[in-house]
Amino acid sequence: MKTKRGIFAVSTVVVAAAAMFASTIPAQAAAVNLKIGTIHPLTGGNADYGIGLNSAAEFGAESVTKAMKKAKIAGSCKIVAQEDDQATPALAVEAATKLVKSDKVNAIVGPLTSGSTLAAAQSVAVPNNVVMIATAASSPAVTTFADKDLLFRTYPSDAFQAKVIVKALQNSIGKKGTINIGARNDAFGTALANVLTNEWVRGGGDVGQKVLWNPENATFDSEAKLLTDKAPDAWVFVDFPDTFAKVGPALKRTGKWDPTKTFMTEAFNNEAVIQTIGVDIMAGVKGTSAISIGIKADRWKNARKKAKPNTKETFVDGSGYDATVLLCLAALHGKSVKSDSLKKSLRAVSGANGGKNIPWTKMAALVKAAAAGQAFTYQGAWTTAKFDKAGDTVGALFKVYNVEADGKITSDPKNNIRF
Amino acid sequence: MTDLIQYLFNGLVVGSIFAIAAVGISLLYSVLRLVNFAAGDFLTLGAFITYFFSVTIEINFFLAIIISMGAGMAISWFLELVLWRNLRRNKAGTLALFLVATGVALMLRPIIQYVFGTETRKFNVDILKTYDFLGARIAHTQLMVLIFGSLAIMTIALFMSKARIGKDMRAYANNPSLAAVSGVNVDRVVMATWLISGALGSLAGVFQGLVQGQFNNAMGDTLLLSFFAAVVLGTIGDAYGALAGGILLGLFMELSQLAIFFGGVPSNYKPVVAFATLVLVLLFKPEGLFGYRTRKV
Repeated sequence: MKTKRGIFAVSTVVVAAAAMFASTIPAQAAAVNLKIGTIHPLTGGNADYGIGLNSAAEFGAESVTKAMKKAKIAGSCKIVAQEDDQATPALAVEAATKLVKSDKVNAIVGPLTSGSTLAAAQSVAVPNNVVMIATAASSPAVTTFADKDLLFRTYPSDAFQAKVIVKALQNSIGKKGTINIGARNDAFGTALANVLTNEWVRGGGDVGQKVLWNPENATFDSEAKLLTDKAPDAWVFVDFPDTFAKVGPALKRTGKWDPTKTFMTEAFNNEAVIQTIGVDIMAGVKGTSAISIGIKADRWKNARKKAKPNTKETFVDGSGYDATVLLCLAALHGKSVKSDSLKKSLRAVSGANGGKNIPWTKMAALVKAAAAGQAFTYQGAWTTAKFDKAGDTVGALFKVYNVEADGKITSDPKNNIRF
Repeated sequence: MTDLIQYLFNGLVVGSIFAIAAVGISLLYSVLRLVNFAAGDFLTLGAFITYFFSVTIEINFFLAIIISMGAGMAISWFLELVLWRNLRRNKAGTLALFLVATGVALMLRPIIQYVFGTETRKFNVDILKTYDFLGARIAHTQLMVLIFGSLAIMTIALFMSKARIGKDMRAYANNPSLAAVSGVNVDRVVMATWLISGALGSLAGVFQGLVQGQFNNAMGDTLLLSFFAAVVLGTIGDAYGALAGGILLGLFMELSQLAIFFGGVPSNYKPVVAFATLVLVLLFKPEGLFGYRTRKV
């Protein structure tokens, strides 16, 4: 009987000791397997951006998983499905529905455009309580959207971009000039056109014509006529390549449009896009575009190129990488893939709650800090997000680019504007 | 005055494209009671086939258009033989036909995307060349569309009124049973309707690609609603009505931007103008602009 009691006592001590030992390695005890789905345009005029962002997101998930294995942290972070929305809101809703209902993803990276982002968030992500990090949605409407704190973005708001365009315009034509604004009639175009109008008028300028066009119009000659009838001091166009490929020739045909007095948005910060629309149409155009404020962005580009050699680069790819890495780190931090935990932890790892800076180059340190539940500031390849209450990233850097006569895009870093 | 000429011209160009596409849709409805939801995809296909022959293979542009129209006819002929004829023989109802047409559209879209890709394409035509006309600026491509579009519209009108098969089509559309007992060859009429519809769809696609300057695989889908609006405006099932409906719709949309209309309707409300016009017309003339009311006895 005594022997039996002794065996029982020893067993109890061994089990208790084993339990205590296990509790000191929390990550191994609760493996976190995060399933991410992406929504980006993989076909159509914005496909270059979508393909680049997807590749960057894959690279991000692979980097985190590799670092987790090295640090012997159980679990994984995987891109389980990549959907194509062709930068179209209706297709983004379909894509999000498939990701949430069929692929059962825990979080979504993307979409690229504001229209798609708002549609997918409103119809799918918010009702199904799924966290989304948009990769290039810039509309101020994303900030004010009632998202139950589920919608984040790694790309800066157009509230910044409007200021940058106004500054570039003022440098070019002075504060009192008249501008004509042409914009696509969607969440991105209308919001930026409105913010831009307010900023320009507040600065002392005048808006002559503001023309919003429907991207599905049969022709754009009447819109081009309205925009060029009374020659302004400058034009600003807020559009995507697919549509401007039709608007641009119509403007040129009026014989009254001067590309050298024209400012455009970030989608045209791409030489392939300039070639598609036509160098004879776009030569001389200027534009503004958010650029990376990430740490060692060139080193990241090289690392991504090595990991994904067949992907065409675009300026915004790092945003997809950061969105994915932040989600993976948030899952590790909260030790959960549930949305309530993810959205709380996204702030803890993005720097919103303070903590030491850890750059993307130190992935092992990042995953260890996250697994230990520490608050820290992830310094990404694109941005240091520090998500605010609306899920927006707090900092931004913009450049002013020029389309040269041969279609090449150049910029002078001296003209960059930081917020 | 210059503004009026410019918008009038823009409206006629847009209207010509609407008219040519709408007449194909209207003919199919009048003869087969089929709402062809694949019409937009036939447009896209027509533009891509023309692009393939004129840009990739580098044959004459006009020859490429003819080949493209031929291809549109061949695909329509094939679909009639393997699909539509069997559905009619199995007494498929209007709803079944409508669903199958939607299915054909949903099949055609990915096929076009798979074969031709999603890149933006343009024809080897100078899209920036313009002519001055009474102060208005007219693009070379717009002029091409207006001239060849007018020729196509006149040919259709002549065909419907003078050619035997055209008269048979109208007779069959008016009263299928009476036409059949009067010796109208129904299969021949149906096949001719499909062939004309396929050819016109391709032609409208080329015209749309020309006036846009560039096009991609989504071109046709975005215009489908306007085509249906033209058909309804001009009276459903009336080929002449569809021609007129298309041109009127294009004119309403473009002319609404003239300053005399409340200072000019903003461009983003062009579809509102089109559909408000449609609603107004239907309110006072439910049978469409060119229809006649059937008196109840």
